[in-house]
Amino acid sequence: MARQVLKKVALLAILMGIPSGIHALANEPANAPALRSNVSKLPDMSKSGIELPVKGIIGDLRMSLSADVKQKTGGALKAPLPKNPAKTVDNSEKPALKQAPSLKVEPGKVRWHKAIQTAMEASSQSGKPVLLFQMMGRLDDRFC
Amino acid sequence: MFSDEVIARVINDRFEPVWVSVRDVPTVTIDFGKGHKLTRTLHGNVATYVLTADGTIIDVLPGLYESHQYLSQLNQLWWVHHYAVKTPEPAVFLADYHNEQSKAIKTSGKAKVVKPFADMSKMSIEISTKTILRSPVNLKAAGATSAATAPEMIERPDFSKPHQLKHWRKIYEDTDVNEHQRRGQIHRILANRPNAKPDDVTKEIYRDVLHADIDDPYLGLQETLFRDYPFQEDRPPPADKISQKHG
Repeated sequence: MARQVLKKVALLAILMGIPSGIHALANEPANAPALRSNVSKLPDMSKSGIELPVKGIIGDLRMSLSADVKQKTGGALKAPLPKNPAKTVDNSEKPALKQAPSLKVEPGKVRWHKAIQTAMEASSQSGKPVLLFQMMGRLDDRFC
Repeated sequence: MFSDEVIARVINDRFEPVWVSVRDVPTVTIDFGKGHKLTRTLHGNVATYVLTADGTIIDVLPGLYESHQYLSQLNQLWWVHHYAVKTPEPAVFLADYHNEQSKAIKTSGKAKVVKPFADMSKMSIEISTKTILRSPVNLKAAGATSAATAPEMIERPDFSKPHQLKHWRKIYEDTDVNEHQRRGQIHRILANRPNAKPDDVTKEIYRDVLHADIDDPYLGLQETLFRDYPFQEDRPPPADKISQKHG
């Protein structure tokens, strides 16, 4: 009976992709050691015989994986606790405002003089006419 | 417009460009909450002046222009400047120029086109508006050259896209209004003041030609904004009192 349970557990583990399941099947000896005592003591094996051992295997696997990860990362890791989004919404919480993008832009590809006087002085040197672009707002503003 | 390579190259090569702000532009911000905002400018306007080195106005292009026309007009004004600085009396020349253009627009709806004479030494005739201006013709058919011919097309709108069609139609309409109505007003203003500097005419141009009184805190929109405004205590004083205050 215990052997049958062990088989079922191993098959389930394989289906769930847990390596220990394959190992269990591959190395199943005739006189396989009994499962943990809590399983064998359960009267109803139809459900509990699968769930509890699987839970146990998964629990063990998670712990071993965590240990492996800790070893690799060198620090204690806490698995993030699942959050119920609805419960975390709170009127006192405000979404973090993104930093406003810069409102200054390049005023095109024209090489603008910084002041009318400068443009007029350049005009007297070059002989070119002054082009004065008047506008509301600023040409180097994003909204202009 | 000034990000366009061709326009920027022409302006950089042929002019000494400078931009100035005449006042803040009104903006409208709609806050939808949760950080979502929409911001747009409202009722802004522009004017492009061509000046001599001492700041005398050659001419003004009012408002926004379609790129090709903008370059074409700038090319013409470059030539007007070229002639004006070579005449013995630039003020007389400019007054004649503006009078001729004002008459042309009034009678035919179109301004005259400026003829380019690159080699002034070969000119055996005196530089005057009668020699440098001519009525616009079908230049392509006549095989003629003109300062109105822009070097190349700037942009090719894709009229198959509805939003582009609408956008470009608006710009072409604005350009048409600028050339047929607003330029006529500009020429009349400058014909009476041929030695004017920008500060002498800016407020008049914005108020009477561009219909955006830069002295009015509400840019002429007070009636529209507050006509049905329910809160009497927040209503501003009447527009005539504002203009009296600002002179």
